[in-house]
Amino acid sequence: MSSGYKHVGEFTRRFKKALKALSSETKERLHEKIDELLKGHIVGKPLKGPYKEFKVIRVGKFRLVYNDKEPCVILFYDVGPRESIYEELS
Amino acid sequence: MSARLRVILSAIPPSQTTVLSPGVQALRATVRESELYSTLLAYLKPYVNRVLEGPKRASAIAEELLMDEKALILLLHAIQKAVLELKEEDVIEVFKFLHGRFGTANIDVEEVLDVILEHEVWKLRQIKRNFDEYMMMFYTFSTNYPEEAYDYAVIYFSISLLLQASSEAKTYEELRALSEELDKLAEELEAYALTFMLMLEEKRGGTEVVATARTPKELKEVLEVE
Repeated sequence: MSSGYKHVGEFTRRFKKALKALSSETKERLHEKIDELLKGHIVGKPLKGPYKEFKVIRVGKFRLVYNDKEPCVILFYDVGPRESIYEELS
Repeated sequence: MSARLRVILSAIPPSQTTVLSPGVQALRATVRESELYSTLLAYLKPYVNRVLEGPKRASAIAEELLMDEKALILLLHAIQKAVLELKEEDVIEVFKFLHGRFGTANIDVEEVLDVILEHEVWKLRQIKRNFDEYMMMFYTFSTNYPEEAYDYAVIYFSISLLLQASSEAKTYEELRALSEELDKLAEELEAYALTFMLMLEEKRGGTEVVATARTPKELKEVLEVE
């Protein structure tokens, strides 16, 4: 039986919707990153202004946005690809 | 006007359209469009040279630039033209050039330039396709978070000066030092860029919680992984 995480993960509708568009490989990488976040092993970079309580963490070419304002809870707000125009350069 | 200069000009946030002194207003009248960009380049050259000599001072030099009314009036004129003329292809072309400069020195700047380029193209798209909402978002941000708006402007100018300096660097050591400073500032820029993107996307909704994970097993179920 699995033991519990340090934090409870909560997921928004927009996160779940965005998840559907991800490949299996990306989902696996996302899983690893969220697992580490819920264990309290890593922390993202804070955003600014009205989103200062949100943090962002890179997952390859994707970004995971979350909020850990509530004690012991991490709200996974959104996940999406960077607008990787750079690929057009190569 | 070179594409590289136009990108740098387009980096100036709307919040920098400050009230100008009579002396600078007079300068406005004397700068004819045909001379604008060469005048601007010449005027910015000392700033760029100083950044090239000491990239770690880029932010301090950018702050000086933000206090330089003559530079601002030149930039204001130039940005109006740049926004109208600049295409995404121009922006990509500039970054291709910069990537090549660093690439020849075997300095990996892919991630850094990717982040800066993303912001450039996103901003250009907003100005061209979503101008009213973009400006209102920026106005709201600048009004409610003036210190952060200033910080954003400093970061943006710093990056612009560093990129211009990168195009003029002649040695590996210069390029290496510039890339290290770009790396630091790009991370900050990314946080602002994502904030602006989220502010514009607030109407999308879907922020209610629909799933919870307390254990690794539940996490796998939520993420639909094996």
